[in-house]
This record gives sequence, C-alpha cells and structure tokens, in this order.
Amino acid sequence: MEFSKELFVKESYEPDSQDVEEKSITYWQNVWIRFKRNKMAIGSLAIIIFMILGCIIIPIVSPYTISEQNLNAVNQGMFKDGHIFGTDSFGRDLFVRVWYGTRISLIIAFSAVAINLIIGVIYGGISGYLGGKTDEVMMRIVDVVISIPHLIIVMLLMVILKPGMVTIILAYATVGWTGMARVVRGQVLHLKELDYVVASRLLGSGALRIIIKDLFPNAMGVIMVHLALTIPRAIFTEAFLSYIGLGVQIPLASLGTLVTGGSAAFRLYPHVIVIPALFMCILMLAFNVFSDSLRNIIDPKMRR
Amino acid sequence: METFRYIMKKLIISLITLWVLVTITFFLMHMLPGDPFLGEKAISEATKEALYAKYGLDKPLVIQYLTYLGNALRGDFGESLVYSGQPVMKILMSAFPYSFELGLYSLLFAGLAGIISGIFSALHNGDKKDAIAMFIAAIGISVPSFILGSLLQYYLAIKLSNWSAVHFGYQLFAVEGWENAAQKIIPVFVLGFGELAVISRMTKASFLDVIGQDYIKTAKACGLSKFQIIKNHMLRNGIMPVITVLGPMAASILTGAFVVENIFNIPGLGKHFINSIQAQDYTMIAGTTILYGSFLIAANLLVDIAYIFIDPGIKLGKKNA
Amino acid sequence: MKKMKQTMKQIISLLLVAFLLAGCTKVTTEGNGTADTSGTSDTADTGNGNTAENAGSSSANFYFTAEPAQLNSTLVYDVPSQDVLRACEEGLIRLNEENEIVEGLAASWDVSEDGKEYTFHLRDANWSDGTPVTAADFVFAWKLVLKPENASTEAESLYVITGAKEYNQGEGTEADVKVEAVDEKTLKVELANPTPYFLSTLADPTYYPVNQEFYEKQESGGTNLYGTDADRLLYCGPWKIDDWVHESKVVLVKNEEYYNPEQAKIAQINLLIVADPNTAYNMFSNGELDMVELGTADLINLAQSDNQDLLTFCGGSTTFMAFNVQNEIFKNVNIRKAFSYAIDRQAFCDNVLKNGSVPATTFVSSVVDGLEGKTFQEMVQAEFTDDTSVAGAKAYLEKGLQELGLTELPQVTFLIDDRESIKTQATVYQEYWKQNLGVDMEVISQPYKTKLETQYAGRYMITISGWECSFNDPISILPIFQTDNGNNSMLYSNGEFDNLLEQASVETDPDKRLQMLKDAELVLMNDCAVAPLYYYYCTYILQPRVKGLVRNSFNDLDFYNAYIE
Repeated sequence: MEFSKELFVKESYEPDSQDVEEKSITYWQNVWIRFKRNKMAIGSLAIIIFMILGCIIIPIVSPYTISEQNLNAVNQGMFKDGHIFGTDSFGRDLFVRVWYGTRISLIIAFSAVAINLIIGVIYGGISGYLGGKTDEVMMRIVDVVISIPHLIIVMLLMVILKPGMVTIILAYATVGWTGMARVVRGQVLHLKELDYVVASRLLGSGALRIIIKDLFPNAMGVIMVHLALTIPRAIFTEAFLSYIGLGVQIPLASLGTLVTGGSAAFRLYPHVIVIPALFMCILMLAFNVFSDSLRNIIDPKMRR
Repeated sequence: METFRYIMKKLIISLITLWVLVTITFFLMHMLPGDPFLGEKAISEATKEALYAKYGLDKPLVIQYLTYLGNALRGDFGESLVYSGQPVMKILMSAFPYSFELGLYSLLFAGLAGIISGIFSALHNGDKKDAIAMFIAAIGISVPSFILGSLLQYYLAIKLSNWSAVHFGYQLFAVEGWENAAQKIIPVFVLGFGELAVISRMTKASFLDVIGQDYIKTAKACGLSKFQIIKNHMLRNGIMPVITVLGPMAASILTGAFVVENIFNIPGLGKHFINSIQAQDYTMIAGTTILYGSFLIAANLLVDIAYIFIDPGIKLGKKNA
Repeated sequence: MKKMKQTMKQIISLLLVAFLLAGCTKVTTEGNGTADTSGTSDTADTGNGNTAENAGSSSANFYFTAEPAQLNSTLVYDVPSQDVLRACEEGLIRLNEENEIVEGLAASWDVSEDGKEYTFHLRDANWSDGTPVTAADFVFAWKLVLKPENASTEAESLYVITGAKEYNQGEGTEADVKVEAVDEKTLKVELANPTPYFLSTLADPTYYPVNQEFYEKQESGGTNLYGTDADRLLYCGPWKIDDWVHESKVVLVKNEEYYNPEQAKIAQINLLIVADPNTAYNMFSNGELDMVELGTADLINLAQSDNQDLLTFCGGSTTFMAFNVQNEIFKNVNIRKAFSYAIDRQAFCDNVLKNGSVPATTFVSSVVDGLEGKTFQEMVQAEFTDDTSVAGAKAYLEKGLQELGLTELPQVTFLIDDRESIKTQATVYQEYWKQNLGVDMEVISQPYKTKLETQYAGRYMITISGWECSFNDPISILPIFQTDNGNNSMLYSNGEFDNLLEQASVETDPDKRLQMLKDAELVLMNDCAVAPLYYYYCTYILQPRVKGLVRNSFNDLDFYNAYIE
C-alpha cells in the first residue's frame, strides 16, 4: 500500500480554549474587532488623525509663514486676500498659525500623556500594590512634588534651558504624573483586596503577573479616562502659562497663546479667538470621545 | 482607637512632608537669578547692601533658612519684601476668606453637579442623553477659564444686566467684586465648570465599573428599584476614585483661581501665588507655599480619612503579605 | 453595610446643607447689599451707570493695577503709591497742569546768586492731627531718605544736596547734609552744584515732609510701620486716607486740616485695585470707574468702536533698544545703526501700538523743554543728520560687517522679558530685522527680574528697555550713558559725552547748560549708543462728568483741581 501525500489532510490546530497565552491574543484581537464596530471610536480617531495630518502638512504647504507680518492688514476678517481665517493683530495669516499652534499643542499634549502614563502608572502601581510603609513614603513624595509652586520650577527651567516648548513639557512632567500616580494607586489599593486578586495570589501568581494580568486591565478604564483628562490639562497648563506670559517663544504659536487675546479682541474680531478655541474644543472632544469608547472596548468588565 | 492612631500618624507624617516642602521651596527660590529689589532703575551698591541687611539677606543661605524655620515655627512668617511693613501672614489671611469662599462654592457646585451628571451618564451609557451630558462636560474642559470668564462677564454682567436694569430696574450680575450673589455666581460657575467636567467623567467611569459588578446584578435580580440600587450599592463604590481627585482639586481650586480672581477682581490668594514668584518676594513665596502645602496635605488627609469610612476594605497601614 | 449607608447619608445631607447654607448667605448678603446702596447714595459703588451719575454726588472711582507698595514717602518708588501720596500729602512746591512750578507748602523762596542756596518760607499749614507742618519735618524726611539704614531706593535723587551722597554712601555724617531748619517756618538747602531743575523735583513725593514724632511712634518690633496703613500716616495734602483695604481699595476723603479745605472738590475718591485691563474697561462701561487706561491696541480699538473720546498724554518715557556696546558684534557703530534703522517706527506706532506714541529717533522725550520755545527733542533733532531711513539699514549692515572683517553675521540674540507689551514689540522688531536685514534673531525670553539681572550683568546683545524723565530736564535720563553709572547696562563709555555732562553740571548759565546737554545727546546719537524707538503716550478715557483731572508726564494722576459735574 502506497501512501500518497494526498491521503494526508492537514488538520488545523484548535487551541485549547483554556490556554492562557492564546486567550490574551484573542483579547487584543477582540479589542480591534470591537473597535471597528464602534462608530464613535472610529469617528473620533478619524478627527484626531485628520488634525495630526493637517498640523503636519498645512504649515508646510501654506504660502504664508507663521511669522510673516503685514502691518497694513491687521485683524482682517475671514477669507480676505487669500487669508482663509483672516489675519491677527500683526497681519499674520491666522490659518497657518492655528494649524501650527495645533501642532505645538499636540506635541505638548502627547509628550505629557506619555510621561504621565509611564511614570504615573508605574509609580502608582508600585505604591498601591506594595502598600504599607513604601506606599506611605511614596505618597508623601507625591504630596511634596504636587505642592512645590509650579511657577518656580517653570521659571527655573526657563533660565536653565532655553524657554519654549521643551521647558513647558518638562515643567509639566515634573508635576503632571502625580495625578495619574494617585489615581492608579487608589485603584490598585481597591482592586488588590478583591476576591479574584486574592485568589490569584493564593494560586501562587507573582507580583508582576498580578499587576500586569489582574490589576492593570481592570484599572485600565480609570487610566484611560484620566489620560483623556491629561490632554486638556496639559494644553491648559500651556494656555495658562501663556496667559501669564510664560508660553512658547515668539513668533511661534500654540493654541494656548492664540486664545489668550482677551475679551476686547473677542468683541472686536471674534474669529481671532473663536477659531483657535474651536480647534481646541474639537480636539478635546475627539480625545474625550476616543478615550471613552476605548474604555468601553478595553475594559474587561464591559465585555460581559 | 485604631482609627485615631492612624490619623495621628498621618498627621505627624504630614508635618514632615510640610517641612520637606518648605526646605525645597526655600532653596529653589533662592536659586532664581535676580533679587526682589531689582528694577528698571539700578540701585546703588550701598543701598542694595542696606536692603539686604534690613531683610537679613546678607547672611549665608543656610543661616537664613534656619532663621526662617525658627521664626515660622513660632508663627512668624516675616514681612513681605515688596509690601514693606506688611506681615506675610496678614496679607495671606486677609486674602484667604475670599479664596476659601470662592473655592468652597465652586467645589460644591462642581462636586454635586459633576457626580449627578456622571451617574446620569453612566446609567445612560452610550445613548443620546449620555452623549449630551458628556458633550457639556467636554465643553467644560475645552474652554479655558479666561475665555469663559471674559465671555460671561461681557454677555451676562454687562449685556444681560444692562438689559435687566432697563426692564426690571435690577442688575442681574455684577462685573466684578465679591460681596453679594450678583457678583459671586459667575466666578463660581466659571471656576467650577472645568472641575465639573473632571468629576463628571471620573464618576461616570467608576460607576460603569460598579454597574458591571455581580452584586449590582444580584441587586437588580432581587427586584430593588433603580434608585435604591444607586443609593445603597453604587454610590459607595462608585465614588471612590472621585474622592481621590477631590483632595488635590480642593487645594488647586483654592490656589489656582488666579485667572478667575483676576478677571472678576476678587482680592483672593490667586495673585499672590503668581505675583510673589514673579516679584521674587521670598518671604511671600515661602508663606504662600506653606499655606498651599498645608491645605493640600489637609485635603489629602481628609481623603484618607474618607477612604476608611467609605471603603472598610482598606486596611489601616497593615502590610499585605 | 448598614453603617455605610448611614455614613453616606450623612455625607450627602451635609453637602446638601452646606449648599443650602451657601445659598442662604447669598440671599441675605444680597439683601444687605441693596439696602446699603440705597442708603448711601453718594458712595456710587452701585455699579449702575444711572445712579453713579446722580447730580450732587461728589465721589469718584479711579483704579490702580496694583496695590500701593507702601505710603512711606521716604521709601516710595511705585506709581500707585506716588499717585496716592500726591493726593494726600504736599511738598514745598506743586506742579500745575502745565508743569509749571506753583507754591505748595512753601509760600515763597529765595535763590542765591550762584544758584546753590535755596531758602524756603513755609506757609501756615497743619498735619491732619492738627500739629503744624514745620521746616524740621522736611529736614527729618530728607535725612531719612538719605539714611543708609533706611535703604531708600530713591536716595539718589537727593544727591544734588551738599553732603547727601557722602552720607548715603556711608562716607559722611548726617550733620554734613546741608539742609537745615533755620526756624520753625524757614528751610535752607545748600546744593553741591547750581541745579536749575532742583525746584521742579521738589514736587516729587520723595521730598515730602514727615512728622518725626509721629514717625517714631510707628516703630514696632524692629521695623517701622510708617505708611503701611491708613492710621499709620499723617496727612498734609487736600485729601486723607479714610480706609485702606489692602489689595482691594484705598478710600480718600477730604482732609479738613488742609490749609485750603475748599481745594478738594471731590469729597470722596475711591481708588480701586483692578489688575485686569479688560475688567477695568468693563467696569468703566458700567459706570463703576470714572477713568480707564487703554493699555493694548485691542482696548483702544474697542473704545473707538464704543464711540469713546480718547485722551492721550505723553508719559515722559522713551522706549529704546539697548545695545551691549562691549559685545564683539555690537561694538561696531554701523551694525548698531543697521539694527536701529531697520525698524519702521512709524508703521509700528500707527498699526501696532495705536496709543498715540510718537516714533523716536533721538533719546530724550519730547516732554522736556528746550530753548526758544522749542522742546529739547527738537533741538537735538535739528542737528541730527544721520540717514535713518529703513532703506539705508542694509548698507549700514554691510559696512559694519566689512569693518569687523566678517562675511556674514554670527547668530544674534535678542533678550526680552515675559511682559505682554514687550513681547508685542519684540514680535514686530524681529520680523523687521528679518525682512530688512535678512537676520534671523534668536529670541531669549526670561522672567522680568531674571532679565534685568542678565541685562545688568552684560550677558546680552540687544534688549528692549525704557527710561522715564521724572522731571523737566534732560539730565533726568542722560546720565545712564555715563561711564560707570550704575544704570549703564549698555556699558557705553565715551569721554566726550562724559565731559559734556560734567561741564553742564557746573555751568551756571541755564542756556549754555542746555546747549551742552544737547551736544552730549548728539554724541550719543551719532554713536548710535542707543536706538530710541518711541516716546510713550498713554491713552485713556474719562467719564464726561469728571472735569479738571490732570494727567501729564510729571503729575501722573492729579486730582488737585478735579471736580464732578
């Protein structure tokens, strides 16, 4: 009897549904499938991507630069002489400035989020998980960091480094992570007492495994929401620094510096304030909706 | 008893925290180039020396620090270097009531409205009502207070109030000041609006967590009414993360009111936090930092205490094996 | 579980009660508030334009952007404090609305032949507590300004008096300061040099009298609290402070002890502290303020669109670009000229500032009087023949580079501080340099105090600075270019300039002296040691009911003749 190759059919391998490793793959696949189904998530992500592309491309292709002035055509209305959004009080093209400002604000926001996420989650996770004396000491450090006057740090950094975007990001970084650390710590403190974590511990899971497998996915919802809040916070910190004169360097623009025109400007040429403010609002809204949807998708509890 | 000891321990730790904070701030502010007496017009060396001698700035920094600490322990925070003859404590204490009142009302407004709208959103998760509530909240975090403040000042305190003055002989809102309700409503709203959004979102997130828990399903299955479930089962667990942010928020709302106080001309603390640093008024910086630090630490202490009462699951200072 | 329920209930009810309580207080205070305003109609704090304009109400509301630092005239340096003191104290002389010298507490005075000795005869006047103002009060005050331990930053302005500089700098004694009370009503002052502007500086708050007995009573725990509160001050001017709510307002009422009690026509002046210029404007629109300054172009545009009558006055200061003349690049005069002339000052003043400021090509502001009815500025301008056109700037740059042996300009830095007005200017200048010289500047923005430190340490190339003529004489600001002057952050040093200033200080003929100062400024301008940008003008609006208010460069805000219609 000859055995030809045709006789053998390759049997596909069905993974054991109880296999832990495989399950985590389907978990992320699952997230992706759910994500594609969620209109809000897709829509907000599209807006964010559109904004990112716009703020990269438009300042490059625009015939105007962000600093080019025309003192004879200041505070022009919209769609005048090729200026889509009109001009500001120096006769600079507002269209390119708003997109450029969005770029700066986004860079600040993303950097802030990255720093918040990394430092805050690790710090808060460790503090909450270990608890006891370590937690006590770590939280006191947070207390001190939070209460150091923010402005002193910003001003010191401005003197030591060159003032500008990097300084603002660093200034935010020195204190920004504390909020995230607190939230994560609170959440971990709460979660680790829950039965399933205790059970996992009793079954011999290590600290790292518990943090990554049991605590982190369950804290994800709160983390996502806090992240979404971090973005406006970071952009607002920048706006506040602009308000008191410590914003990005002239002639650069950020959404923060663009909206600090004051009520007089608002009453005279509202578009100068309204447009950047709208950009800010849309951006915030998109981030909020995105994180909200993502939260619903990722959170294990939401999958029931 | 255990609770009392726990609180006492926290209190002592808080004092140490405060000391560390003062120390760091003290040396940080002296690292800033320049000094409080610098002006466009230079002052002569002799005058500068005299000024330094007058305020004890001629001594080595460590000595200045120890002197300051010694005085501060006795409740003497020195006098302002800019407003000469005005004790720092007197300036801060005269501004404190304004900021405290503004902060308290704002926090109450933000807290109540935020928790209610958060719960509302969570219950209607995903539908139109949720979308509307969250949209309003998003506006709250998307509009900087200096814009919202200026807008409301113009449209409500000038336009609408002039209109109401003409038609009803009564001005609805005032442009500035802090004496009566007409003056207070707008600033409280502006300051609280941003925080409202934060609280609302935190509440929604944590309530969604709670809704998914088995015991809520059980409660539902037992036929408890929606209101009873919210009141008896969800509030306690859902409010936990909200309380975490409430502490620092209380402190930041108290001190971060600079913009609102500036626009509505409220003689509160906010400007001292900004101006003292810009003017390098050392004693004022140290004083405001101590005040801010104490407030923050007190707020956190309250949060910790609230934790014990709300979530008995947290074990007091015991290390978990 | 049950316990928790109760705790939660308690917390919620507590919150509710607190909120209700808050609501209640609001309601009650509101009730009181309205009752108050109807009761005292002349306080005009109603915020309602109609009531504020009531006939016969003699109260006015003005504002400062910052709290007066302290009202001790021997220490005073900030504008709000000076304005308050001008209303409630008086010096030997006053300046009228034309900046002319008129009698103050001195009824008359004699000047010696050589212009070095002044004898003042005081009028009969009282402090607000009824004690007479005497010559000794002036001697005490002036010596206090100079006293080294008092550490007054304004001491330098008294250096014209013989022995003053030595005493202040610790090289002489108090007794050597040549100011003495001959008798109760006669004050004799001896000056080191003939100083034609001496009389006009006497209107300055630094020269106001201080009652020694009262001053010494304010001693408390090592510090003297004179002038830190309403009751820690004696008044000899038309008004006195009735109430000083720190960080909020200063209330002035008539001083019945003033030698001419009829002088103060506004019975009550409320000086509010309003930091935000937009808020101040809104308060003005609502009738809560009688005057508002328009600090930004936006506010000026807004006032115009609201059909307000804009008023302006020359603030007396010159805003200028300071060059570090010791710098490798800016030591070259042509490079300096290039950077100076590349700026189109007219376009900047007209389109960006909009406050009526006048483009400047020479240093001393046009408020200073010159000879033959001309201003000092016109005298200098007439002889300053440099080509200052924007078109010529590029040629200067090329010439300068050639002289330095460079093919292209190294990176140039521009030091500024974080104030909005400075940023606005810097934005425009930066762009002019780019357009007209092809130079990309690196802007270094620092917090204000840090920037000053950097500037005085000479760690800069170009920066924006401003200087104000505090009295009607070029010597008020020219010395900042003298070698070794403490204010010479430009590090400029020119023997000819120093000599001319030196000669002018001993010249007895006022006309010749002014000519020398004019020549001195010409040296400065031809050297392009400084790039004057504009003479600052302040734009403000006034409620029509306020009449007779004086605003000019030397009397910043003067209520002396003001009245309400």
